[in-house]
Amino acid sequence: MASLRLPVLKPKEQQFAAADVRTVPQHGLVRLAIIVASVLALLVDGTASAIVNAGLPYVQGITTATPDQASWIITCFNAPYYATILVSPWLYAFLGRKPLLLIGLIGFAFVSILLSLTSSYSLLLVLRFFQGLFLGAVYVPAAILLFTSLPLAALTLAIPGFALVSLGAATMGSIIGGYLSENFSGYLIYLPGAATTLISAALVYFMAPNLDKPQPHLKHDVLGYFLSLLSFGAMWYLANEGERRNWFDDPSIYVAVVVLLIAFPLLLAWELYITRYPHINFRLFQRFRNLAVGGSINFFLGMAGYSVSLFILYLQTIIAATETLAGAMILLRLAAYVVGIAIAFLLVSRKILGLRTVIIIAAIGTSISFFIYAQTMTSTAEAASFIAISLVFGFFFSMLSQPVPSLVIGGLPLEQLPAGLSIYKVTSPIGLIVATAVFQTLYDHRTAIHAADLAGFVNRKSLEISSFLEGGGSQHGLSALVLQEAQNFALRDSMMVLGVLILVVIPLIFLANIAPRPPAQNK
Amino acid sequence: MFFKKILIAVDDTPPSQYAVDVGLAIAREDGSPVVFAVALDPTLTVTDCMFASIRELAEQLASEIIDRAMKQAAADGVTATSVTIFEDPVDGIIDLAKRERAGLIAMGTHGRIPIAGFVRSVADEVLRKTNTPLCVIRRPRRGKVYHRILVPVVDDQLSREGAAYAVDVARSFGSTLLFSTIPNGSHTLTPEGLLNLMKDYAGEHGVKAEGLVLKRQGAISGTIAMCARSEECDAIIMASHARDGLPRLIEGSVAETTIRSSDIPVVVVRR
Repeated sequence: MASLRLPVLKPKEQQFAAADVRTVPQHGLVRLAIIVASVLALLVDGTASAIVNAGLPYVQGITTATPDQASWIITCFNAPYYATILVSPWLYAFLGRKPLLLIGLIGFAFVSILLSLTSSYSLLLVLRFFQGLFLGAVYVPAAILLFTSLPLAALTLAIPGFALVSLGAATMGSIIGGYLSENFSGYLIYLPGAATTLISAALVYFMAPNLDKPQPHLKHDVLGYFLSLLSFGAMWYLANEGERRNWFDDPSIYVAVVVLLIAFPLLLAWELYITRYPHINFRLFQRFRNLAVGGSINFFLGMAGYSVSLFILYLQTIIAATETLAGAMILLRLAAYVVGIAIAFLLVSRKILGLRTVIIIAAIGTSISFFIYAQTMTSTAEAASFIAISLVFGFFFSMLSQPVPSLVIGGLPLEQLPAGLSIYKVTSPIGLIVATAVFQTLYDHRTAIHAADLAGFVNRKSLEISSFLEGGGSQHGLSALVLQEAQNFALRDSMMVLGVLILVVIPLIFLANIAPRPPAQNK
Repeated sequence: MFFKKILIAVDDTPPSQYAVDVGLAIAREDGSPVVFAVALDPTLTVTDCMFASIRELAEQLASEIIDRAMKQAAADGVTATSVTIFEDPVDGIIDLAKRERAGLIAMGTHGRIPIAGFVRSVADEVLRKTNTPLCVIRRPRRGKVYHRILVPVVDDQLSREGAAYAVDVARSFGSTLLFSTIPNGSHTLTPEGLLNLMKDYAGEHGVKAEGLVLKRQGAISGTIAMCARSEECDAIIMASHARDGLPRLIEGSVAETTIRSSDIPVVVVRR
């Protein structure tokens, strides 16, 4: 009987799709229209996932999904979304940027409209899958279209501008989703994205030049795509359901872990050594050290991004702020992002400070901000007491975030820009996935520990407790207060852990190769 | 060959294309070669780890712009070379003009009023720093260049130097000069006397010249631009003190405001 032997290929035996990133000068309104179209596409890409996450309870209500079913609404979107992002550099080479972007935008808009009409849970899952699949095709061509449409004078600002759009979109998504579902209807959460993508698609269709030659001869890598779909699906399922199902108390968690442990290593092996025509160029990490370093930093930034969820949870559960007020607090960060990104860019580009120094200062500033957040998060605090710290945090966090895309994608040769963009896009959410799983677990454990500690102080001999009960307070009310205080302490603990975690970027940045360039020779 | 060489500063803006059109038209008539220069932001060369891909993109764009200009030059029968510089555009263009020994710099302008730190006018800055005659173009070329040239003058040494330059250009290109002045009562010569002096000087050098006393209507620059339009001139040649800093704030710059209001190329010479 012949044994099954997989061919192990050397890198030179593999063929990667080479993207054609060309540009031609555009003028006036045409250029403006293309830039607007690509920024709109990037904004939809950055907000779509968070909008639905924020409106999930309302979507769950519409489709009468049980809490056990709810996380599939997220997983069914995220798995094809991130899998397609990783494949989009290949799709870019296969189809060209304009056709790919149009397919992604129009497909996303169409599916979003259908989603706003459906109340069937199973149909919703199917549509969410296609919504993620189409949106995943948008990010890379939209970013390339943006970079290649900027005027010569603005090219230097391409990456800081891109960082601002990416960071801003990620922050705005939960605010928009919360506001729409709270004030209108769960059905509505899909429509702003659909309308925006249609506008963007129209602008792209009529204004953007079709510069790339499609390469229809490129070979498909269906198995690679399927494995990345399984990997991301398992990751998101574990992040959303792990702690809720008390981890290994539930058989579905075992299944997800087994899927992840098989699919992800197999994906790496398949793309690196087995297939002759890989969709994903993992070898870039080896060839470009800064891509690996920047990707790792982006992973930790993604983890730090979980602070948004923690802070919103604090505002809503501990001090009972409305979603609109919580959104306003997060918007304050956004205002500071503009300043932080501009200052980080000026410091580095004007050679006032080195890239490492900026990242170290920003990491320390962000870490201190997390600790101040933790100290300010008391059960009696007013929302207004977070204004200053939100601004300070936004400033340092954006200062920390600005150099990262430069490090990940700025240093790549132009032909590798699509691949670099897809890696940049995916590393931060993987950090968020890990943070979601870790911090949900940490939060629950710390809540239990603090509740047990606090319960030790709650007895009738205590003057405050007896006066609370004599004043008409019930035992049930008292236990709710204890639990709330314990939750508050747990949130503060989580913020402090994030404050320590973000410092990991400091040793990481020392691994980057940031030697100055020799003086340019005029041609 | 009057100019020896013309430096045309190019980028991806429409006024830059107007500069290419005008620069090539002058070069063709003069028989001088041109050098196209694209200035790319030196920030892109700070470090490879941040800007390699963007620098490549900028170089690609620069190469597209230069290719287009070179093709146009070839079609016009003008000898052309090109240079891409990673320098601040103002210093880069001025230094390059010196290095190339260019007799004229041609560049486009949007005509925007600069706001410190926000809106920059490279043409204004070059004008203040360069000693090479500068031809600034804000609008598309219509018809010939240097066929009928408006030369605004006042009774001072700088104007005389500007007029002398205009006469040299006119002699080379066979142009007609239209000297014009706005009476302000602060000079020794009467307006008519000044214009006669200029016309005589032009006549001595075999250049046909006319004189026109303008009635000031609003700003001086507006009056000059209006005169150029009504008299169907195709270029303005004027001298500038190229004041900078406080003197510029106090005295202003007629050359800069004329550039911003004129529809035809403005050539500025300084001492």
